[in-house]
Amino acid sequence: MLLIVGFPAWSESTESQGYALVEGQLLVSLSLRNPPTREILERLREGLKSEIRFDVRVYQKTSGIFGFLGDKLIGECHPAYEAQWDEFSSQFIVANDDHHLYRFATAPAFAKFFFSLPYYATGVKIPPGHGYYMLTSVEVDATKLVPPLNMISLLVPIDRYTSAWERTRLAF
Amino acid sequence: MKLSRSPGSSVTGLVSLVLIYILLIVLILFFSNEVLQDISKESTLSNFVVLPLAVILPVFIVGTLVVNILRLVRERRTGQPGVRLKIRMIIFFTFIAFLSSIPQGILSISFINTTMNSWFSTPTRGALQGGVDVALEFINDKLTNLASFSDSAALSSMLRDIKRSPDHLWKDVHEANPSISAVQVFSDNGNELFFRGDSRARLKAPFMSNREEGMLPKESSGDLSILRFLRIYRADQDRFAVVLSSILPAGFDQKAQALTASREIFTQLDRFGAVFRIVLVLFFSFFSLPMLLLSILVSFLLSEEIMRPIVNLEEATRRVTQGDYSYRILGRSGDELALLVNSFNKMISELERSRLKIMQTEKVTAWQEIAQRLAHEIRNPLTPIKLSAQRILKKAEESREELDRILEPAVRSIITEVENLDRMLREFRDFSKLPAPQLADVNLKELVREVLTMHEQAFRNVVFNLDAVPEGLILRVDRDQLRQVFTNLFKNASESIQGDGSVWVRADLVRKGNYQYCRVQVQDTGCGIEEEYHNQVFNPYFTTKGSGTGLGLPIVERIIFDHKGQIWFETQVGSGTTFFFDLPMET
Repeated sequence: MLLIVGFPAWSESTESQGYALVEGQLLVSLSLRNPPTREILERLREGLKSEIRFDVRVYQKTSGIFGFLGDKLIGECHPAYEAQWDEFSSQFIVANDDHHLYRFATAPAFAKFFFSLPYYATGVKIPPGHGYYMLTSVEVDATKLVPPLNMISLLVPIDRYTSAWERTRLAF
Repeated sequence: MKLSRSPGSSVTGLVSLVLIYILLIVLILFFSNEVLQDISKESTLSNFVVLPLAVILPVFIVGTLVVNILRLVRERRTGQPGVRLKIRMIIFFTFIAFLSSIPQGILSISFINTTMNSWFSTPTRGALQGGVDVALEFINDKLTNLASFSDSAALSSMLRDIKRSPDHLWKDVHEANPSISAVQVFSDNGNELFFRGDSRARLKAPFMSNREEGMLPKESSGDLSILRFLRIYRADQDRFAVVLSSILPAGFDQKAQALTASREIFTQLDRFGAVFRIVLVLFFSFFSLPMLLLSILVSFLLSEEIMRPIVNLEEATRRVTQGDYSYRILGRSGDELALLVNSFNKMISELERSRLKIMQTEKVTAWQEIAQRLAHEIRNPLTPIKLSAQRILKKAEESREELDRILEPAVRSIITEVENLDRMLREFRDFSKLPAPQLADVNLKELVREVLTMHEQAFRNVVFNLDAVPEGLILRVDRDQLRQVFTNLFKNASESIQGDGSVWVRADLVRKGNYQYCRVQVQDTGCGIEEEYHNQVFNPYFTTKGSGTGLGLPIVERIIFDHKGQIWFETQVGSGTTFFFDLPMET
């Protein structure tokens, strides 16, 4: 499973289609290639909740005598969605970090929304400079464990899909 | 006065352990009450709590325990006083800790299993699923009812009056289907024509006139949920959008959500219950182990605390046995051990006072005896001196010729006796003013060989054998004084041998209590010592030899005592005598 950075062109984007710098703030668009749609839909139909978490970290390369200390972390964000199937309204419901609810009547519409993060304002301010790059990863909990069963996740990652970290050079 | 002080490390250690214990309990409570509520979310606080709980504290406790165990092993190897009793006490305390922990662990795990089986039982799950099914059936009935009524010919018939009288229409609809909460009619361009019924069901936004006929999405707001059906009605040239609404009971969505959330726990338990039980046991062990290790650490400190006064008493007793009466133990206040320590200190004070009194008396007695002996020994040469002098005087008065004849032998006799007196007084001075030993590392065999060289020439009839003295045996002694010891012993041994004979010297390392000594034996094949003289051998001025001063062996005894050693002898008349003396290897 790979994370890809896909982004339709928009007017403010500068060089890349996968990210943009708007008023000094980084906007990214992420989506998951080959998502575990079937597994997620199965869990939702069983009455369980699923969660997807996108991890975005922005670094600036460090050179010179302090290079051995590693690259500088400029900022990071971890937007997440929580999904469930509402059998009383026959809708997929997705909640974001701000508890805003999105309802979908069909599975394809739900999957398209759930596995992507379009035009997301990361809140990471990029100062003028160069050598920036971004590491991205996605973690999907097909079953979001409820307390106290969430103790399991401390010891064993269960029913979880995790993508590899993907590196994208940021050039503005 | 030397004092054995209690360092107080046990108290500090116990306080530290109590603080760690409290910290562990606080962390566990925090972990169970706060972190577990949403452990999946990253938070600085949970990391701050989980990290020390998971790593630092157990590692610290295990590290401290390992250090204590290693220290105990080292104490056992070096034979520290009280270490065996201490080990027994630690094993005993640890055993008690295990005895109390194991049933508690079994009980807790059993309790968790029983509680889980009871709370998440099949009937409970069935009841929950039943509740969900009832709710679903209810809402499906509502939907079916709404849909069938909306599609019915009866409604079509009622809608004929749509232009004429909205109130009449609402009355007919409500009478035909009381579950309909409201009727709202929009014109073809989306404007509301009229609304009748429960005002909560009113659509406020402009209606999209191009929507298809059928069920509209369920609306939820607060505790209000509304089902709606859109019916397109055409009359003459006009097109109307008729929305029939049915309000669900208040809080229906929340209750349904609570039911599904509860059912979610059951579903997760079905799927991951086995793993969850294992994780629970692991977590229980994870939290219990530091507690158990802490209790073992407490057992170390408690046994140290209990053993310290006993070890101090043992040390004090040993010091007193070795003649150190100045040792005292600092007692703790308020317990029985403190009383024992105080009694012990009092006893040692009394012993020291009595000992000093006895020593003073013995000293006076000894000096009285020495004075008598010295007076007696001085008087012995005085008689021949006096006689010689009187004889010279008498002959000088009688005849000059007789004087010339006896003058030389008489004066010689006087000189000899005066020399004897001088030698005797010199030895007495040596004996009474023996300096304190100046300790240095001395090779015993080399020293003995050095002394023997002089004696071998003086006593050619005696064979000296020192094969049993190990090479390279180093003693920390006063070299000159030890040479004096061997000189006196060899002289006595050689003089006791009539005709040919031999003297053996032997040295061995022996252990007495916690101390190591070098035991030296000087054995001769001489005439031995009569039993009646056994108690007087070390008395000053006692001698069985005509030319002896009787100070040789008292000087030897004094030197050995000054080196914190002991001297004694074994003898058999006609076979020989063996003198033994022990010198401590440690000073």
